[in-house]
Amino acid sequence: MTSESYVSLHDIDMRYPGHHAVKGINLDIKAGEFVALMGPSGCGKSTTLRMIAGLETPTGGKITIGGRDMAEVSAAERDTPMVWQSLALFPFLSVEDNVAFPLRMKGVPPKSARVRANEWLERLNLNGMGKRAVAQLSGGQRQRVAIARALVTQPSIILLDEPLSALDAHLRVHLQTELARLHRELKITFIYVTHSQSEAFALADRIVVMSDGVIEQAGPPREVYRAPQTPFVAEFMGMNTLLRGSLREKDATDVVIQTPEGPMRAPINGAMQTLPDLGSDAGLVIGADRISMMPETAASPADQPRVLGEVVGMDFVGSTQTIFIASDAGIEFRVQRLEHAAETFPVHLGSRVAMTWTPKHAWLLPRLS
Amino acid sequence: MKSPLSLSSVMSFIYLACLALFIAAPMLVIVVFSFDANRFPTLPWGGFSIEWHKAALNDPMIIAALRNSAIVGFGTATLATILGFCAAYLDYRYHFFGKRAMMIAVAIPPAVPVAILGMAMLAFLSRTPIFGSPTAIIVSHTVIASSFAMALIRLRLTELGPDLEQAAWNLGASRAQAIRLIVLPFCRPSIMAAFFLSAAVSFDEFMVAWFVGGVHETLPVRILNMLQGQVNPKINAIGTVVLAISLTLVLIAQRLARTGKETR
Repeated sequence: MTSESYVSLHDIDMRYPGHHAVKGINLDIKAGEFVALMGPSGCGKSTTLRMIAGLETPTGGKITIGGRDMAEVSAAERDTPMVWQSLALFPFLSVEDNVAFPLRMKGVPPKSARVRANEWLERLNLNGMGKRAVAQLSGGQRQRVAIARALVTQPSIILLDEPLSALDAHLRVHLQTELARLHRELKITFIYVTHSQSEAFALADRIVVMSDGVIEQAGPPREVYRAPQTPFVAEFMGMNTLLRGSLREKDATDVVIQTPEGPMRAPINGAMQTLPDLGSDAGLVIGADRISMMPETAASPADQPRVLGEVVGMDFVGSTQTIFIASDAGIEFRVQRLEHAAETFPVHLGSRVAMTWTPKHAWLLPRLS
Repeated sequence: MKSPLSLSSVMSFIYLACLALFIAAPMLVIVVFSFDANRFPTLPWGGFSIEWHKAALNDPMIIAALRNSAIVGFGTATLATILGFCAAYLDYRYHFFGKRAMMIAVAIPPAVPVAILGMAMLAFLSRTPIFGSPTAIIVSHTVIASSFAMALIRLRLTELGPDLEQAAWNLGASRAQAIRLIVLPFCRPSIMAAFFLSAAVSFDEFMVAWFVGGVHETLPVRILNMLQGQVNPKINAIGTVVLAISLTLVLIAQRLARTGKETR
C-alpha cells in the first residue's frame, strides 16, 4: 500500500453561493506521506481539508480514503481526526476526558479509554495533567492535548489546520520538532494546512501550493522553491526575483529572454516538453541567494548579466540579510546574503548597487499562468 | 483610598433609595400587613400575627390554586425550556429560508398586550378539547415564556465557537451525541436559568390564565377572584407567599445566568 495513493481527490469542486472556493482539484496522497497545503488566505486550502474530514460536502468530484468512496460517509464515521487552529478543546471536560472523548465515541469502555488517554498524555509530555481543566494549561500544553486527542484512536491519517499559528516562535519550533518525531514514529498520513513556509519546509515530504481554488504546484519542498512552475509560486515562495519578457533566441541548451533589464540567458528547463515560440512571453526566476551584490563601480564577471539599482528595503533574520533593490527599469530584486558580508560591502537605504548572477542559476518558468 | 462623599453622590444615593422604596412600597405594605393582627389593614399596627397566613393555608381553594400554579409553572418551565433550546439551537446552527420569520414569531409574544394575547388564546383554545384545563394554561404560558428561554440560551450559544461541535463530529460523535455531550453541557447554566425564569413568568401571569383556565384557578387568578368578592386579610398573606416564590425563582435564574458567564 505504501506506494499507492491513500487519499485521492478527483476533480473536487466546492461552490458556495457567490464564491467558487475550490475549482476541480486533483491530488493523490500516499499512505504515510506528510503533505503541506499552502497558499494565501482564501485559496481553498482549509476548505479542502474540511472536505477530506467530511465537514463540508464537495459540490463536485470524488474523495476516496483507502480506496473507499467517502460520498456517503459522515464526518463521524471517517476517522480523520483534525487538530484545529482554535484547538476546539471541550472547556467543561478535564484534559483526560478531552483525550478520551474520541475513544468513548468509538465505544471503548470508560476505564480503558482513560488508560489509553493517559498513555497519550505521557507520550506528549503531559504526565499528571489529566485531571486538570483545560483552562489551567499553557498554550503549548493545550496544543499537545489537541494533538493527543487527535492521535488517541490511532488513526491512519491526521488533519492539521494551521495548528501552530497561535503559538509564539519559540514554542512553534519546539512543537514542529514534536510533530516531525510523531510522524516518523507513527508512519501515518499527515495533511497539514499552513501559510507558514518555514513550517511547511521543515515538516513536509511534499508541498501543495494553492491559489484561488486551484493547485498551482505540488512537489518536494526544494523543488517548489527552486523550480517554481508558475509566477504565482515563484512570488509566493518569497525569496525570488521574477523577470518577465519575451523569448528572443533559443539553441540546444539555452534560451535568451528579452527583459526590461536587457537580454538574459537561462538554461532550457528539462521538464518542459516544448519551448514557447520565439517572440512569445516568457519569464525567469532567480533565487535571492543566487544573486550577488557589489558596489556600482565594481565590474561584473564577463558573460554575466549586470543590473543596476537602488536599495529600497532591508530585512534581517538572524545572520541572514534580505535586501530589496529597485532596479533602474523598475523591477524589484531580492538579494540575500549573510550578515558578515556587510563588513566588506555595507549598504543602507538609498545605496546604489550592481547585481549579477550565473546564468545557469536562472530558472525558466514553464508556465506563465 | 476612599474619596470623601461628595454632595452629588449623596444626593444620587438618596434619589436611588427613594426610587427603590417607591417601587417596593406597595409590596412592602402587603408583606407588613400580612403579619398584622388587625382584620383590616389600618394603622396603628395591631401586633404581629401569622393568623392570616394560617387561614390562607387552610383555605382549600387557595391550596388548590397553589397546586395549579405549581403544576402550570413546572409544566411551562419544562416545555418553554425545551422549545427555547430548540429555537436557539436552530438559529445558531442552521440557515434556512424563513428563519428570520420563525425567530420573530418566537420573540414577539411578550411584546403583545396580555389582554389581546389572552383573548386570542381564548378564541383559539375554546375550539380545542384542552380548553379550561391546566394544560391550556401551560400551553398559553409556554408561548410567552419560551421567548425568554430562547433569548437566554441563544446568548450562551454565541459563546460556543463553531469549531467545538464540529470537533465532536470529527472525533466520532453523531449529531445527537454532539448535542448531548457538548452543546447541552455548555449551555447548562443558561438552560437552568431559562427553566427558573419561565417558572417565574408563569407563576406571576394572571390575565391569560384567567382567560383560558376555566374553573382551574392559578394563585394570581384566585387573588383576583377574592378581591372581587370582599377585602380579605388572607389576600395579603397569599401576596406575600407569591412574592417570596417569584423573587426566589428570579434570583436563582439570575444567579445561574451569571455563573454561565464565568465558566466560559
